[in-house]
Amino acid sequence: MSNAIETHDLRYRAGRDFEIRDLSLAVPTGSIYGFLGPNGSGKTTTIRLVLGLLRPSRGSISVLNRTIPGESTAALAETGYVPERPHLYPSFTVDEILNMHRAFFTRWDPAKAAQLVETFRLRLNQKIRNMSKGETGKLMMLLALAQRPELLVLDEPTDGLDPVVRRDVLMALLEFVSEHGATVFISSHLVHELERICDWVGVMDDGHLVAEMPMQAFKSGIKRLRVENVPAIVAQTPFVILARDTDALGNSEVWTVRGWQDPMTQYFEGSTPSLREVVDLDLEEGFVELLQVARERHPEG
Amino acid sequence: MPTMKLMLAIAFLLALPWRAMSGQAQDLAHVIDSLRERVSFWDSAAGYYDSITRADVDTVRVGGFAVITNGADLAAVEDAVNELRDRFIPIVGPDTILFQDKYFAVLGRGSHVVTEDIILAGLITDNITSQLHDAAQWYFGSETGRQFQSWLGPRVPITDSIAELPGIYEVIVLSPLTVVQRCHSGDIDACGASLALGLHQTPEEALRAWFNAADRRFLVGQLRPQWDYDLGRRADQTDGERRCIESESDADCVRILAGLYRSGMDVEAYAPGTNFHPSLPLDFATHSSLAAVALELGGDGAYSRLITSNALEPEARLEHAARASIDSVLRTWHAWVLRAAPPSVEVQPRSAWVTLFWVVVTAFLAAGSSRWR
Amino acid sequence: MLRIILYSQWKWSRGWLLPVAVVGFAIPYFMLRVGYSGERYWDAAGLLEQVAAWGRGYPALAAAIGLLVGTSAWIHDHRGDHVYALVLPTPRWYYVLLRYTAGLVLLAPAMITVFLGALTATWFTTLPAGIYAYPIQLAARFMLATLLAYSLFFAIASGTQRAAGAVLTIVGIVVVTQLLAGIAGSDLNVLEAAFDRITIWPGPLEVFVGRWMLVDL
Repeated sequence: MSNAIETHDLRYRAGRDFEIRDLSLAVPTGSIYGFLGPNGSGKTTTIRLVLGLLRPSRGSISVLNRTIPGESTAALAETGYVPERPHLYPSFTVDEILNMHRAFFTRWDPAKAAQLVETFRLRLNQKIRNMSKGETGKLMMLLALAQRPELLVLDEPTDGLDPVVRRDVLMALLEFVSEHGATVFISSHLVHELERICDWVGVMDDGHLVAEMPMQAFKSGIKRLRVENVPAIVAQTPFVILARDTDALGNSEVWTVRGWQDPMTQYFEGSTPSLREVVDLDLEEGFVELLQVARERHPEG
Repeated sequence: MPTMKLMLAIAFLLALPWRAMSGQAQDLAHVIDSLRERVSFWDSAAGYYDSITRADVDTVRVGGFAVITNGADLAAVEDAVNELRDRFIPIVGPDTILFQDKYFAVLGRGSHVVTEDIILAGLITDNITSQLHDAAQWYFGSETGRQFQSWLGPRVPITDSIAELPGIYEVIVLSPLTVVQRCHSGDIDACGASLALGLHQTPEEALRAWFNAADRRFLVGQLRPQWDYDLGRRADQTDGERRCIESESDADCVRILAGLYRSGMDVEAYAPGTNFHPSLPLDFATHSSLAAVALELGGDGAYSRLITSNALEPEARLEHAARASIDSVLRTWHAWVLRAAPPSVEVQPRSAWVTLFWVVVTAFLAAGSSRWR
Repeated sequence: MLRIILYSQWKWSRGWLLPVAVVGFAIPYFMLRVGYSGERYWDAAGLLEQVAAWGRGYPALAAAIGLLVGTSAWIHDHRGDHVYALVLPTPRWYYVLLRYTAGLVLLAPAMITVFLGALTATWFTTLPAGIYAYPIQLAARFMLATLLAYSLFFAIASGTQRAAGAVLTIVGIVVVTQLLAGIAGSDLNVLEAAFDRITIWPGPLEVFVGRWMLVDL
């Protein structure tokens, strides 16, 4: 399987206190890749590196099989981008910005643009500076979709939008993906939102990639196990123990594990420790657990 | 009661002349105050002048150039004199004795500038160099004698007059007179005529030598509005003007200009304050520029020769100062004047190329601007 | 692409391009009409002084137009940290050249109105003998000066903050050196030397200090 975005050993220092370190991520072609991370974890910086807006001090980037920044023009021609903050000229009207985009993007689809204008109920003569946050968000999504991209890079595209607008935007996105099979690289800290639409997930924290896996594996693989009679030394397990906590009474432990599959209950059969309970975690809980574990392993950040 | 009304009416009538007199008295008081102020000013200026000429302690001298000051402005005066020294010494040369002990300029406290003969008030002392320069030109001018001054004008040039040649070029190029245009084209005789060399001729002869009939008609026409305001028009002039301009009677034009010439060539009538004589082809500044060229050509002692020459005609004086023929002085003057022409308005090709070069360079720099923000 | 870029710059600068064009058209009229009271030849010198005085407006106008067109091409990209421009599928140098070319096109109206103003003013004025009109020469000088000013300001505005900082630092060093020299009582005149270096051939700004005379000898 080829990757729409691939980075290797990426390093970039932004200011004195923050650095992207050894970032190697792979966004499979055709996937909807949720790029999770708390605020300030480096998601936007990573996206800007991927699009060739920032120059890494080390490492390599490939987008749609083109190296960045050397071949960024060709890559950008097939990439739709919705930035975190509106980047459009505020004095332009909707119609003018559509014309601007149309002039630069050879794959521009006027029919799709017209359809989305209608779907999003945008007024062509409205100035961007006079638009609400929701309208601006819809316009940016419209621009990204109407250029019929192979890859959509969406940086917090629904952040700050009301639920109705958020639904409209995501619906348009999913409709486009189902029609064109494009790859979507979407960053957000709204975990539940990504849980519904993504098939891959990558988690960033403090400038490095904490985890990257298929969404299914993420959702089902991270569990909380309540175990008893835990020996001092735990033998090798078929899953990865992310964290061990003793419960309040002190007679059992709560393990947060990754890579859990149901047949693994056999590990506990006839031996110590013994499994008492398997608790499903939703994506957000799993995400929080992952971050906690990552922070315990790298307390200095 | 009627008696009271009558008394009031009488009182009112008696008061009227007093009221009128009161207004007149106020006007009179203003005049008296004004006169008092002027007397007080002149009195203090004269007293000041007396005191500093008696106390000869703060006198700055450069050759025959002596400046008396009250001491408050001594440093400034010294600076000014030193600045002028380089200009005057080459001209005055070894003949400084000629001007010794003549105080021609005294700079005093505040805004008073006192010269030996006249007291001028209101000039600013912060431009002492310029005032000294001015005063020197007037002073040396008076030394040349009235006959020469009637050609030269009230001021004698100093070497710096060469710097005024761009202005002279402008005057010559702009003159609508045929004779001056011929001079501009290189006719040296026409230059002599344009510069009014030949004052020894009668005015009628001179006017015929300097101007053609069209020029004379033009001059009269141009002067008409001026007569109304500045020069005063005699009653009998109107018919003559009409005949000169409308009937193109050259005799009338000559008669009008000659009358003007006779009444106007008295240097007192134009000095100080004006640099223009309506019946001369070119102004006194242009004459002065010719004298400046003669002084330059003459080198050391040229100034003394110009001033002490007994010759009455200006061309002889200039030849004496320059130690060269008037023809040679005129040719040099003509060449220098042409050389003083302002640079062309056109953009020089090299300028255009340099500009385009920088346009391309900056465009390339912009095109190479970094995408890394 | 050029059309939409040109449209964008026109949109951002049309508010003042029209007044500037009017000023460019009007200066020649004032040059020749204000203070010009006839054709007597002793007025001609006054006319030349008048023309020279008004002529100082041209380099100022050229610099102002250059500054406005040069910086307005970039000001909206700067406000958005250039993100929009940089994610367009076009090489940076090509995008810069598109903006540059659009700016050049926008300079044309000002140049043309100055030329037409000069031509009209001299056409309807009877000049004194010895004085000639130079509308083409004046327009050519104005064109070059405007072009240069535009190119210079465009290049500075297209740069990064670091590049702009470097330019300001150089200017600051010159000014501070001059101030220090003044405090120390030195005769060193860095400002004048720098000014001469850039305004005397082959300095880049030579065209600005030429003679801006619509009519001359």
